[in-house]
Amino acid sequence: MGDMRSRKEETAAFLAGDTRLVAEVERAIRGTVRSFRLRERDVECDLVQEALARTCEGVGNPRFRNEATIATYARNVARYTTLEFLRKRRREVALDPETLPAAASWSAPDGGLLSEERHRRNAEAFAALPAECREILSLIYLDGCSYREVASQLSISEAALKSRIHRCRLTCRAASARGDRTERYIFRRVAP
Amino acid sequence: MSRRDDHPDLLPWYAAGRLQDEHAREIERHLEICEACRAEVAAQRSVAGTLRSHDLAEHPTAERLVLYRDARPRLDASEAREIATHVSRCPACAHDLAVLERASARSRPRRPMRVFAAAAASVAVVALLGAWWLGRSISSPSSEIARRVVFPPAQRGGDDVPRLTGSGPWAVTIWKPLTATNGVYVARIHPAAEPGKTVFYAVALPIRGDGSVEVVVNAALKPGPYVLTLSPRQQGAEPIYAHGFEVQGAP
Repeated sequence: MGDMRSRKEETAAFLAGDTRLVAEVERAIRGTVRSFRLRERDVECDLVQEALARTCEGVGNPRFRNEATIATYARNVARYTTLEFLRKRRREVALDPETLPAAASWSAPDGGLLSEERHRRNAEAFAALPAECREILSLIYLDGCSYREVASQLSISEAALKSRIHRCRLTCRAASARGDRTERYIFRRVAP
Repeated sequence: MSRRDDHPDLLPWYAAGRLQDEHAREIERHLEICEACRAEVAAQRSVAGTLRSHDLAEHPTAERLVLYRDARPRLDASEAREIATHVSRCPACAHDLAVLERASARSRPRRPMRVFAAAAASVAVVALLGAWWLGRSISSPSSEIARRVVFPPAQRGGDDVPRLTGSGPWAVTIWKPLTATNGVYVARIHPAAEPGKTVFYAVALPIRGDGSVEVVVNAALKPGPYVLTLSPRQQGAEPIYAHGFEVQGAP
């Protein structure tokens, strides 16, 4: 109860512009946004401002429940604000035809033309990969991370990433070979 | 870029279309002669297509996913189950959860071992003494601001053009008009001659509870005339305040 009262007082002080509290909240937001290790400094600054604005709006809303300290609330706001940004950027990467080289016949993008059945099999094959392999491929395919960025996201050296990629590619090739055999087997069964 | 088995390491990046021309050409030369790598690129493209198509599907919002990750009581059991089912089938959301997990792990305070704690304390003492010796104070970001500038209410602006001197950052205090309602305001700065070109954007934070707000301008502004506007945060809202000012180079 006492906690709730002190949080209400904290909220009132924040809304009145208590310099110490405002600085503390801003630091909490900045630290959280930085923990996502984004590539661009400008984007980081924009996200801090966006999260700060959302925090001010949320705290100023009469329905704000004072369940946690403002800094904790602000950290959560910063997390989903950053995640929203990452999702948005991912969609832009996915839809950008410039990112798909098509110099040779095997490099033609077919992502949008896959059949439901192919998607299902791909999803199953992906789910069956080791976690470290899924992690790396998701960072490359979904977030468009470079070699260095993948290493940074996973907090490992580039040399360690090389080894992981090598293991990952061997696993993928083995899985792919198994898949081919299965496909041929199924084909033989259904062929007249 | 090749090693061990002579197949290029960067093949996943090539398959994702994330390589610069030079590296991409190098890989294409290898693909001309390597059937195994061609098959790998095709398979990886196919999987990437699946992951990306999942990403265009309907997902739990980022806010719900954060709550789910934290197992918050605000998420009822049925919604938590629904999200769990979705995440088990959706590689994109599983990836989002992994991203949140890594970020949380990085921002979690660490518990260093005693030896390291002692070493860190020694370093801190040396650093403090050094800072004292150099006559600098270790302070919060707001106290590092070299110059504080007050922008008067717009109607009293007249010929009084505030000046931001030096290289910043500057803490700008703005007196909102009396008619301004409560709410979150954002400050934008544009060159006086280019109203459409925003060179700075930040939330205006209330200070002292007396109707003024503060904006820390930490952008590198070239010398010249600018206009600062204050608007409610809602998209497309009209500014309630606009004031011209001038940036002067380092004195």
